Amino acid sequence: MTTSASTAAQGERWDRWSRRRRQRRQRSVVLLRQIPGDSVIHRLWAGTKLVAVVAYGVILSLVPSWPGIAIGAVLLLASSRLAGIPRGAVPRPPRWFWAVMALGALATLASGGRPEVPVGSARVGLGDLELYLRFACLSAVLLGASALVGWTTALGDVAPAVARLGAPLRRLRLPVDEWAVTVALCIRSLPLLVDEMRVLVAARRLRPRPPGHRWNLDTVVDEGIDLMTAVLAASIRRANEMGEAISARGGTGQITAQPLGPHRADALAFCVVAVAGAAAIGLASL
Amino acid sequence: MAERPSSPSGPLRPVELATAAVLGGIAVALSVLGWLLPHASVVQALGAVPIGLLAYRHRPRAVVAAAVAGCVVSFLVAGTGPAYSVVTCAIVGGVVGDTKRRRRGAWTLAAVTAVLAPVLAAAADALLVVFSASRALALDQIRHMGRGVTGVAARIPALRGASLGANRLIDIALRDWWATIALLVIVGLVVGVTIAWVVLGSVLARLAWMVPVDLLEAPDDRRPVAPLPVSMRDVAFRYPQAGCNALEGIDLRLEGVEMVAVVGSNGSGKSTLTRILAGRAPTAGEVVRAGAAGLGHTGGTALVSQRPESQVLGVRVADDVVWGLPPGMTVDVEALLRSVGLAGMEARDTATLSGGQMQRLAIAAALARRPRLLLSDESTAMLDAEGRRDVTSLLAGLPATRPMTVVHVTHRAEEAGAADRVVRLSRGRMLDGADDEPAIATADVPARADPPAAAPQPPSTGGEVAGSKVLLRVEGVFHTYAQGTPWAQPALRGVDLAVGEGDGLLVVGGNGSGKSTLAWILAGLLQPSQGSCLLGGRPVSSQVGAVALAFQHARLQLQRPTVGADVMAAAGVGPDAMADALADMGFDPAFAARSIDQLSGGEMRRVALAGLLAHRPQVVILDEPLAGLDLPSREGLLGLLARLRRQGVTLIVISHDLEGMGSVCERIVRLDRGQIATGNVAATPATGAGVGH
Repeated sequence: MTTSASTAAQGERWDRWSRRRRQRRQRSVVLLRQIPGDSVIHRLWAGTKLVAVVAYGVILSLVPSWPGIAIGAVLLLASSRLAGIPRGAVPRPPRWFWAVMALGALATLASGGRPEVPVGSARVGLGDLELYLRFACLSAVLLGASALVGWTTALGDVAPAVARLGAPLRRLRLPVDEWAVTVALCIRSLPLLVDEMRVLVAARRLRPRPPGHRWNLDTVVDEGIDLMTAVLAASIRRANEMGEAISARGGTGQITAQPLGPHRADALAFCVVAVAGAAAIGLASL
Repeated sequence: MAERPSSPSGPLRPVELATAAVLGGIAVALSVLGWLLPHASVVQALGAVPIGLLAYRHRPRAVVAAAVAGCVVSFLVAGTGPAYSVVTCAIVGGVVGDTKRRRRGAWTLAAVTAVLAPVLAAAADALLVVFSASRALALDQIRHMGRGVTGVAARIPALRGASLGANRLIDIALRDWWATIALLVIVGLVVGVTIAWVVLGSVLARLAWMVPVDLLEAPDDRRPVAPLPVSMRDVAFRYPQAGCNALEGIDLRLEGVEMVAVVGSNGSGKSTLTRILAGRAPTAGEVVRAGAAGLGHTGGTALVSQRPESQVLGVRVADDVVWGLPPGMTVDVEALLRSVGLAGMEARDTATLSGGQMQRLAIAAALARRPRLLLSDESTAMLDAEGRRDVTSLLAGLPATRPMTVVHVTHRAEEAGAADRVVRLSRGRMLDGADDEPAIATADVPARADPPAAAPQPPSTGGEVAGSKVLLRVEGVFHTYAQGTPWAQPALRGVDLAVGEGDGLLVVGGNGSGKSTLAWILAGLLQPSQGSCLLGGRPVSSQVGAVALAFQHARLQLQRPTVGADVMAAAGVGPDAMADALADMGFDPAFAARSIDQLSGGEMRRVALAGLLAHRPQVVILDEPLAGLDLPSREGLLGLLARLRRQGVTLIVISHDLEGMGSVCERIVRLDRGQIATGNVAATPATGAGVGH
């Protein structure tokens, strides 16, 4: 029975090792999912949230200064608090991400810049690092803002909001409603597509590498084309079926049972973002 | 060419909208993936391929719709980065696909690229002029990092000269940033266009025969909507490019309030019959209607089709009920949902519904149009026994409460019992005597290729195995998706299971029971959050491939262009072993040359199985092997599985019902909300004919 005992021990080692690996890996990123809730932020019209995020993003890109970033961060944290976003919702980047960030910081630190502080016998310039941090914080605020929209908005509300926001474009004879329907169908089919891609990759993993297999440009291209063809074949089928389902409903028309629009709270939210934007611009030009 | 769009102007047709949404969705998925995993950023460039396919097959208008949708959705998913990628993909894919559609070659593409490149470069420069502060920030950042790296490098004497040179280069590049950016944009465009051209070329060659068709497309009928009464006289139908008629000599009259069952196996022409009832013109004979068929219009014809998840169009249940109704029309969503047994589910996400619930939702959406004629085209084929019973009785009850005729098409004879009238079809023709006796759809069923294994043992339940040597052992397995996030979703909650060598195990469970998660863990494709799954004492996740898994969606498992090539790639074997494997699955040698995309659903499953078995796996898992197969294909597959068992292959079948598996598996485990349920499992019917009432 010694062999089985040793295999058991081996199994246990494996298990411990794989559990450690797994804990690192399994901080899976969840995309495009609402955090259920009924907060003020949840009740805001989807169009308001989209416009607010895009508008503040444009302002921050025009004046990427600390006051603007700070105001944005405060707004972001306050609305996350209002919406009751738990900390677990924030995706935790993998280690290599932090490693790359640290490397970038080190490289920037080496370049120096005023002000300089004495460290031991040497002087270290912190000026350029400030710029680096500003850049990182700016990106974080912008990403956080679009994540917040996803966390607090029901996906079904997005397409109707797009139709309504795009309404002025109808005067230019642009097919806004067609686009809204495409957005709705795209949101509807995305989870199915992602699932199909998961299965595809899993099926690929189950296959052995042929003897003498070597990765080179040819095999990579070959395999890439195989996978792409499988994905596209499956999606053409899905699109045909979906097209028939649309035909069966007599074509397109309504896309939501409860058309929503802006309310008083939306006006207030809009004012808050406008004031914040004005402050960001004003403080930057001081 | 069949691939060219037939209507060159006007709003997008349904199949164009759906294709734009789905292919745009793939571009979104690839772009987001590329942003999340920077080492996979080449994936982003591939996002141009689905858009290229769209541009090749449909009008530029569809490409624009896909670009707008992709941009909005990817912004929602992960911000401006992926949204920017999707727009780039749309431009590259649009140009390449359109060039291919016009049957022009690489020179045309080069010319278009030459015109486009400066335009895009100028646009990028203009954006950076507008956002000059951000530009300065980014450029300074690059300069600092470069300075830092070269500063460190300069301390090493050997690198001194190089670092000075690098510094000068960085300075020039940043001083003339507009030229640098323009150069980068142009190079990026050329690389992207080249990749898309090469990949799209090979993909198109392999998908050339997969033409986008809307089988429901009907000629314009300007008469008022009145689908009934309808009578067909000597109707025949032949699909374009088909060698023979799908339907022939059909005489049928529908008039009163009743339920008519149309029974026949695959290829009997029953779906074609529904399409003609839905308004498609026959190729011969005569269809006389009181008015227009009015598919999807109020008071017209409504259709519920086979695949549940494909016909649900709304994101929320309530949205799906009204989807496509004319603007301004209001319906009582709550009452409609109540009438199909989905009361109170208005706000539910449609992705969380079971197959049976989705079909009932589809019926609710059909009823919202107050149809006079309701067509159900195999709407029960993909459901489990319970779902089938529900949906059939729901359909049968409709004529009693509403003034409508229900036509239920099915390959299951037992579902015809509820109908007032039965029409039997075989090879495109109506069988005689169909009107008075309940039909049995055995006409097309060939004799069983293989008798079932000796009378099955009384099924044992529970996770323990008696007797034989344990091959696969699952111990204390818990699995939670997205652990530690607000979306954490427990799938398995403490599963213990042992599978002996040569065992035949059936794992049954409904939607959300965790059975697919278990299959992935058994195959080593997923690491459980807790607990272990060992094959021969070692974690199966360290030996992926030793346990074969046949997925329900077989097309995704077949990844080479032809049957033979796929089996060889799947098993890593040569042509001889491939021919043997195909012969084992009942294919003749010539089948190896067939193209994967021209196989039927049943054939795909058997080819996938051939590839898996040729690799000589220790255990074979089949996920829902019978879903969506008609009776002859089911019988064929079941016979095959029974034979594998007799040959000593260890088999695990994952299924939502017991149906027909008695001849294949002698041990049954029922999963219920992530745990193995104790208690007795209903006896298995030994035949593949299904569960009656």
